[in-house]
Amino acid sequence: MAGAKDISDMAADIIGYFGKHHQLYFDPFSILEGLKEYFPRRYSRGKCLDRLQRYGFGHCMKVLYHETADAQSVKMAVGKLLASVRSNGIQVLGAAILYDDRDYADECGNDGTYRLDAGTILG
Amino acid sequence: MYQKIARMRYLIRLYYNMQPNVSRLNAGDMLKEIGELEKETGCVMADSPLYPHDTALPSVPGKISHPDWPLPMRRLGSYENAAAFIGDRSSLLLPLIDGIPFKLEYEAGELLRVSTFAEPQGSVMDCPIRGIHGIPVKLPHKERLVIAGIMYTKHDEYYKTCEIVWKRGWPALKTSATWRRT
Repeated sequence: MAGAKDISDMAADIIGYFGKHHQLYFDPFSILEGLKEYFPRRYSRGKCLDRLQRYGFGHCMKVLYHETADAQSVKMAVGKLLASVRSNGIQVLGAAILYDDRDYADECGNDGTYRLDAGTILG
Repeated sequence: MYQKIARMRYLIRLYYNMQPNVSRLNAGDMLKEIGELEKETGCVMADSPLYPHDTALPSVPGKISHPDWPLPMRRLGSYENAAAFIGDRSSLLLPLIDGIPFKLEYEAGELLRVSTFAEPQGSVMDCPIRGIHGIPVKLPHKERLVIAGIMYTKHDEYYKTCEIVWKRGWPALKTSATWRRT
């Protein structure tokens, strides 16, 4: 079983090699700390990710889902999102669904193994 | 501001992907414009050609954990379950990109640490982030900021690089072979 340090070394080697050819990209998907002062009323994940573009980060491809959900509309939204990501040549496994309100998401907590404010769906 | 940063990122990509027939004058102009945009926006990208090659990240002792960083997300399985999970709350759909998740920590507008998912408690990952497009090392935000994101490569570029590596006898995955043996 490989230790964390081995994996870290391997990642560093691969990054070094692909980085030489300038073929690596970084996109943010979550803000763990900070930016709360800009959203006093509602600490929105989506708006935080949008704000990161001012600081030099890339555009995070996402869909903000406001409606009351039904299976068909979720399927359509996920399909459209994945198609747009794949059209840019990026390999994608599925979609993550998170509550946009960060304060509510923090209240959800976890069950010891999984987070309760988020789930994934493969597509 | 958005347009200026987008322009800076575009110029940096263009600078590295220049074809041989692009003249030196164009490269000089590009560097000049990148320098001006860096001053105007207050952002310096890790892969900027103007950022000194030998600059090391400052190493910060101590460990910081975040409750939602190391925990995985559960699989919802079907769209019906996904709809039930969302209910009437506004939700965010994000693509699960196949790549390596990173955590970046900024303080006083400077990048302090980069750590991987394998080391969630904040050990410094000694990796050459200079080759990664889209990581700012300096930004115009003075408060503390911790960001999770994903590093990936594109399909066609990945296969192109693999082809080069195979022709040269796969020297790059020396560490990977070591990793498999352990």
